[in-house]
This record gives sequence, C-alpha cells and structure tokens, in this order.
Amino acid sequence: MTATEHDQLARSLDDLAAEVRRALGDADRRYIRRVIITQRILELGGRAVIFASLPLAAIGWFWPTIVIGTLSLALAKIVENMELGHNIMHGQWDWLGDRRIHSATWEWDTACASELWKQSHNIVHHAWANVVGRDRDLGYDILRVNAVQPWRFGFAFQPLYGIVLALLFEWGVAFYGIDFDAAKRGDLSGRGLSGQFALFRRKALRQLVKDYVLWPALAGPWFAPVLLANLAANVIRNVWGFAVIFCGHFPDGVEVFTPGAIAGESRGQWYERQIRGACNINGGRLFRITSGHLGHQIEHHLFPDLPSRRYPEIAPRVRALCERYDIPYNTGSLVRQFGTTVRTIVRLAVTHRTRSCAS
Amino acid sequence: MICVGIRPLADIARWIARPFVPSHYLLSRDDREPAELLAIRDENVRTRTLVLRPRRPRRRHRAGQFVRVDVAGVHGWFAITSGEDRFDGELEITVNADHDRWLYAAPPGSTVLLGIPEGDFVYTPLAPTPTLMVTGGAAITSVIGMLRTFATRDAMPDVAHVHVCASRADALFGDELAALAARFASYRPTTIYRTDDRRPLDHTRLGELVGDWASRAVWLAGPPRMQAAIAAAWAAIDRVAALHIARPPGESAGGTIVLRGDPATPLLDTAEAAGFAVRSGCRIGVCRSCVVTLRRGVVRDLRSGQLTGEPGARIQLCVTAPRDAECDIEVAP
Repeated sequence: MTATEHDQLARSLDDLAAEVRRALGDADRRYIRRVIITQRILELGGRAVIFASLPLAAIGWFWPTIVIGTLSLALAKIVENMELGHNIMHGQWDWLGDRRIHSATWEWDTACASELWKQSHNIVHHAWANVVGRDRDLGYDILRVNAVQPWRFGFAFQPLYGIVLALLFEWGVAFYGIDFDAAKRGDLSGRGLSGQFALFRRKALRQLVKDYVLWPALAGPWFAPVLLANLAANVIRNVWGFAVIFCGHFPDGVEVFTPGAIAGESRGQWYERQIRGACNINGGRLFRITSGHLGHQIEHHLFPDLPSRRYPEIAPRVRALCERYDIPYNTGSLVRQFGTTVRTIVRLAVTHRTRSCAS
Repeated sequence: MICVGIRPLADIARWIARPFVPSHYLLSRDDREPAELLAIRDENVRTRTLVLRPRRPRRRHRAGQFVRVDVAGVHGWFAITSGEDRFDGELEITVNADHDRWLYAAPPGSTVLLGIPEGDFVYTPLAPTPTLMVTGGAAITSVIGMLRTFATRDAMPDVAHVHVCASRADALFGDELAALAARFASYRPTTIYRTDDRRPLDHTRLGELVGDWASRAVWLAGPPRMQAAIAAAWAAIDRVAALHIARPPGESAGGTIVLRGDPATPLLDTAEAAGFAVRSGCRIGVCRSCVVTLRRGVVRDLRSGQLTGEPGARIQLCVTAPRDAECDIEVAP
C-alpha cells in the first residue's frame, strides 16, 4: 500500500468510528444496563441454587441442582469478565458519564487486579499488538505461538503448559500483570514493581476469600460442596476465557511484526497492523455476549474503546475496506480458529526452525 | 474504645459492599482521603513539587487530571504532574511557591486530604495521532505527566509542543523537556520567552512554528486569554472536536457545574440528582429562582422548543434540558 492509500484507510476508519460515536445513545445505555442486571441475576441466582441443592439432597435432587447452579455461576462470571469487565475497563462505556460503569472504577470478578490489567492489556498489548519482543501477549512469555519466536528447550512441553494455563487462566492473567519487562528496561522502579506485587496480592486474596471462604462459610456445615461448586465455576470460566482469547491472535494466517518494521508507522499503517494481527470468530448473539464480542477481535483492535455491541454493525464495512486495500480479513468458526491454534502450539513445540517476519 | 470497635465493622462493610465501597451506599460526596506529604523539592525559584502518598492504596490517576488538596480547611485543585505508570503509590503536584504556600506550611511527614483525581483532560489515542501541545506558564503541569508517561512506555507519539513562559528564569521542566527531545525524535518542543518575543500566539504564528498545526489534535493548557486565542484558531478551521482544554473541575473554574442529562429531563432535576445544591422555586418556569448562566453546551427550552447555545445566555434550569444526551452542559450561577 502507498502512503496515500494508508491515509485514505485511516480517514475511512476514523470517519466510521466518529459516525458510530455520534449515534451512541439510549439503546446502548439500555443494553449495558440489561447485561449488568442479567449478570447479577445469574450470579446471585446461581449461588442461591447451589445453596438450595443441599436441602434438596433429601429428595435426591442434589446433583441436578448443584450442576445448574454451578453452570449459572460460571455463565455469570464469563459474562462479567468478557462483556462487562474487559469492555468497561477499555473505556467503552465512559461516555455514559456513569461513575459506576466506568473504566476508572470497575473492578471485575477475577484474580487479576483491574489496575494491572488496564496496564498490561489496554496499554502494552493493544498499542504493541503482535510486535515481537514488545507484545507480551504473544505467547505470554511461556508459549511459542509463532515460528518467529526462536525455539528453546522449555517450549518442548508447551502443550502441557497450555492445558495447565487453560485450567488456571485467571491466575496466569493475574500474575502476568506484574511487568518484569518494564522493570528490566528501567521504566518501572523497584518500588513500582513492589507496588504491582501489592496490587496482585490484595486482589488475589480478596478473590480467594470471597469464593473459597466467605460464600462456603455461609453454607455452614455444607462448606465443602459450595467451595467445590465455586471452584468448578471458576475453572469453567477459565477454560472458556482461554479458548476465546487464544483465538484472538494465534490461529493460522495471523501476522507478526518486528519493532524495526513498525518504527514511525503512520496511523493507516497502525490500523493495518491491528487488522493483520487479529482473528475473528463467527458466532451468534449468545456467543457474542459470552465472548465479550471478542469474535470481532479485528474491530475491537481497531477501536478498543467503541462499545462492543456496535462491532457486528461495523464489521461488514471494515471488511469492505479490507477488500478494497487487499488486507486479509481473518475470520472462521471457533472450531477452525481454536483448532489451528492448538495445532500451532503442538507443532511449534517440536519443530525448531525459526521463521523471519514477513513484513 | 469506639475506634477499636468500628474498625472491624468497617472492614466487614467493605467486604459486603464489594466491588463498591460503603460510602457509595451512603451517597456521600466526600471522597477525600488522608495522604502523607513525603517530600518537597524546588523546581525553580517560583515553583516546588510536592510528593504525596495516600495512606490507603487507591486507583491510579490519568496524566492530565486534577486533584483537590485540603490542608487545614483551605483547598485548591492541582494538576497531577507524575506519570501514570509508576505503581509506587505516590503522586506529585507542582505548585506556586508563593500563592500555594499554605500547602507546604506543614513539614514533610504531615497529613493532607486528597480528593479523587478528576477531569477528562487525558491522552486517550492508541493509534498514532499527530499531536500539538500548547502550554502557557505554570499550566505546563497539565501535560508534563503525559510526556512522562510516554517516556516510561518508551513510546512517544508525534508531539509538537509550543510552550510560552515569561522568562528563562520561569521556565518549568526545561531540562526535562530538552532531555525528552534528545531521546525521542518524535517530540519537538519550542519555548517562547515573553521577555524576548511578545507576538501573540495566533494562527499565523502557529503556522510558522508548526507547519501542519491545523491537522493535529490539540492538548491546550494555559491562562484564559491563551485558551481563547487558540480555541478561536481551531474554531476558524472548524476543528473544535480535536481540541482538548485543561480545566480544573468543580468550583475553581469560577463556580461552574457541569451536567449531563437526557433531552427530556429538566436540568434542575439532573443537577439535583447529581447532588448539586441548586437554588429553585416553583419548578414550572415562573419564579425564575433557578436562572443560571450557560457557559458551554446547547440546551432546549422544554416549553417552546427553542434552542440556546451561546455562552453567557441566561437560562431557567427547571424548564430547559440538554439538546443532546451525553453532552456536557456547563452553567454558572
């Protein structure tokens, strides 16, 4: 693409975003409130049903009720993390002017402290998307997800790490909020690093106490079943989050970049990198809400702070722009995107050849 | 005895209220918390930087935001000058050594009250955005936090910075700006000293200093006259949307209040719901107790449908509503 074409692309995308922002209004406000209320009902309802399973054991209904309650709680946590927490912390709903639904104040139901997440995700990952050595999401320091990363012995066991990471995903994300890279560069002081540790510790403790001490304690003698139900809900959420998030940047066809290649990039080039580095997943309304609209990863990377419910509506126009400028628009089913991701992780564990960046 | 008893209760209330804090339920508007004055350092003969550490960990500020500081019943709003990414729990404000003497009358180690960082003068773009910063005098404190944040992220956007100050002796953060310019090719500062150069900073002058000023997004922090001149230059090219102006929130902007409401609800109701004590009487547009001056935004008279958008117009809060939802309406008594 020529510089003029890049400028045209940037202008078209800027106009598209401005058009959507002008159109934001009551329908959007109603949407986010409805999702929040639904999520609260699912969570409290799920916990209530889990509690109810214990007296119902007397008539032999223990298993069906505790499974329904656990699934409801897991769904609540999924919706909270994906459609609410992730998107609200991106500032997608700051325009509402509601302090409670605002990136500055939202705290989410997961082990990662919101302040650390906003730094590691909104700033480091989104600004440096798919830049080798700068985007820490490219394998999260423990996985080789692209052949440009040189093989080392530890990667041989990465299918195993992948499974462990899927089960413990919230803890991986939480720990990952501590930015050792910035400390190594000297941009984060020693006290800053211990400040990040303190944030990590505080949030982790709160989550542990809430799900594994306080709620089980409310059930009195049935402490253990409630604890296990909460654990199961957290693990279901972890595996789902892992699957959706790994489909964002690791399926076949995704591109990565070197820091040298992006030095001094223009706005249009920045947009192009965001498109080439992201993958969409096709799905219906329920999938969109439970994935936080991350099936529209491309639109999300172009406009991280645009309310997610608007992504499906702009997607055809983004795709048309991609066709006009001959930029690949990577989209597929969850099975295709997750399947190729898993294949890549397994293959790169055993093949040692390093590829250089295409760009 | 009471202190011993209340502490665990407050902790329980915090656990129950999570993820909110108990005060949200009490509808209290006092968000101030104690902070320790850690250190004071001189910037130049007229300015000093205060390092503050809130006693309880709190959310980070965004660079460019203001914070309210209370010392022994006196308070003021100050731009936060430390960067966003420090995570060491400290924040800095840079203040006038004469006017703001009340702030550091107490020695380091003493306690002040800090409000929540506020204001939407923040740098949001992630995509490369050619940027112009225009600052006048001490108001450079509103952008220095942004520049420091870019530096710690090792990612400086394309920033042209025009700073106007009285004299060389008054230049604030001069060495730091020079060091940033040396480290990042994309940061280009120009300083105008009023002792040497008294030409007004209008669009001709801007054109000489920054050739492509008109295509840049602007972050502007300076005295009212400078704000007016720059705002006029951008209004002339119909690019007001790209202009961000640093204004301390709340009362220090001359007692104005900023409201956001929907087009069907009278601003009086919106103001009361937001907790402002607004004078009112009949609430049907007769007694004129609630007349205020419009400073910013477009409002509609709910009786006649007539639109008013010129700053300085007198409007009746009980019978006017914003023309658009989610737009700021600023009014002054």
